[in-house]
Amino acid sequence: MGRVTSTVPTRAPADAARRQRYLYGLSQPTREGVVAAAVALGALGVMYMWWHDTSPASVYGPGPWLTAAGRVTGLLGTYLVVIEVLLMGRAPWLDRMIGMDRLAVWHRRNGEYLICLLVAHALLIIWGYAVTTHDGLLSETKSVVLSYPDMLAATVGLGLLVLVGVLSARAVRKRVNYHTWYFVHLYTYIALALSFAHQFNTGADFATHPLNRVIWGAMYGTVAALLIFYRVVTPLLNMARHRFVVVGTASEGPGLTSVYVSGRELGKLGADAGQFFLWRFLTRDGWWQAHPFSLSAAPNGRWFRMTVKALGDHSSGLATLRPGTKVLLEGPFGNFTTRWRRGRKLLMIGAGVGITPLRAMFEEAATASGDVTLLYRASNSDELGLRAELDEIAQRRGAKVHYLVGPRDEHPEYLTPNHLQRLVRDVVQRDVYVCGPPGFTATVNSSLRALRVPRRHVHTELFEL
Amino acid sequence: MRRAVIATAGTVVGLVLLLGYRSEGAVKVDKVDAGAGTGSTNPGTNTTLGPGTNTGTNTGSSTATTVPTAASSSSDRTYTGQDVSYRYGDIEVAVTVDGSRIVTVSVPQDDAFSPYSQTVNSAAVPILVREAVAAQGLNFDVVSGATYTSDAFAQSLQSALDKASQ
Repeated sequence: MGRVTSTVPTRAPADAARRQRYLYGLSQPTREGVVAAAVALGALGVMYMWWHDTSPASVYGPGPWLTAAGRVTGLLGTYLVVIEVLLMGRAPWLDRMIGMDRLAVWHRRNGEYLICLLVAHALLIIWGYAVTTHDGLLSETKSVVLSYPDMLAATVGLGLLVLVGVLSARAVRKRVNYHTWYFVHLYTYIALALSFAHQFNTGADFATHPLNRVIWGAMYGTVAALLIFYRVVTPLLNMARHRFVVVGTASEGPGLTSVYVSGRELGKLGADAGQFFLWRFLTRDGWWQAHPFSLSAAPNGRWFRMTVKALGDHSSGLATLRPGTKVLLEGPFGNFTTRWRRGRKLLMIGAGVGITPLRAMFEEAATASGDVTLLYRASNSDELGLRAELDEIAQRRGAKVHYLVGPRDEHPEYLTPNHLQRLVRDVVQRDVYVCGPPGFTATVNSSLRALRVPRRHVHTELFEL
Repeated sequence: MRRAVIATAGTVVGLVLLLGYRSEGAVKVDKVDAGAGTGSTNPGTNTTLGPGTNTGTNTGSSTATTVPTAASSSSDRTYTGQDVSYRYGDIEVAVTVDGSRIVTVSVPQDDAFSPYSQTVNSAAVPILVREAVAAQGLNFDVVSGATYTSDAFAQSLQSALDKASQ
């Protein structure tokens, strides 16, 4: 048999049959449930490993009880660290299942939980040993950290993880600049490496259990391989293949800049309107940071466009990008696409930067089916970025755009169920795509619920760090 | 906040249930009746591997644990096995044989480098000694919670028995 060369299929207009086949047409909550169940199943496997290796005789009295609790939290915590890394590993199949935006939320919550588990692991083990030996906590800590094999390294590893966790806590994260946060986050890998040896050399479930070592090693190895493949190999291969390069920048109104990136065979990346890329511009100062930005125009096979509001140092520097600057693109990511629509008619509701993916989807959907309505909320008309383009698309394709302009306190009625119903009479029959700041999204979602729009018809992209 | 409370409570309850089901209280080591009906009771036959056992007397270094199973006779010979190092210390086992019968097993050298390991050993070594005598060789179970010590004990005993059979 000759090898079949697989190519990424170019996106035909979404037809019902293909949508049905796509992941069996499972809804977002169901898909999230499937992934959560898989993670939970793994955790059960880890618990079984402990259960199987621990003889009831060894869990006796307060000391061994504490130590056993320490072992369980340690096993579970390390398992979740591996899951944590995988969640942000840019695996396209995970992205398709639950979407990068949800993955980021999961990553944050799982991170908080696993750090607590690992701290509990260390404390419980030491406490358990101290109770068993009738020794003081301090001297027991000293003994455990200094005299057990690889424990010093593991202690440093835990310290690094806690540091990463503290810097990522929302209250702290806002005050730390991106550089610091980013580089400290990389310490996670160092922490993982430092703490690996103590698991095998002092861990009761590994030290004398070759099979467990094989399973655990395979888990680490698989995730490491996936990480290298998706985070390093794939972007580099794509760059070599597509030769992404900046072809121009354009001002789209006050504070709004578009960057156009071209390359070879862009259609083969299989990007959909509504998706985003991680853009890494290879300039002298900016090459080390990649930022997520949605495509602000439907992919056309010739160029990609992103549109940014000048906020931080990075986004305001984009206006000065020179044509010819090489770009490393990671993606496309996100499942905020019309692929997941259940019916034919669409309603899009956006505000702020949330308009960029909707702008791309609006263009794509208007071209394909025509029955699209867009509601665009802004506090004043200066903030209606990309308005001219939206008007043009609407005019040419017969789609509708409503601008809901004015300060929130003067127009509290804009996003109420009644008002939405009046603007879009058949809102209940439509697939609704919502994208904007968290407060806005929450308001719109509650109005949609009040209007009894089926949950499966509501698609939201979460903007949360 | 609500999520944190649920996660914490769930974890604690889960742990307690898990450990509660797994633990069955103290392990009872059955009386080893390896002697030839001398009627002598071995010290501490019902040993539990748990905190507090022997902690008062054990300092962790060079504990000699001997289990005599019969009155020693003039034909007894004692062979000392290798000093075996393991992850948490080192151990040396000696065996006294009368012909092919193991009369006593003793541990002239038992160094564990952390207080925790010393405590574990002080509970485990007497069990190992009795089991070895009862099994008249190496066919005995590892003491759970003291896997390394058990392995090292068996290795040293093996080398002592090798010497004896030469």
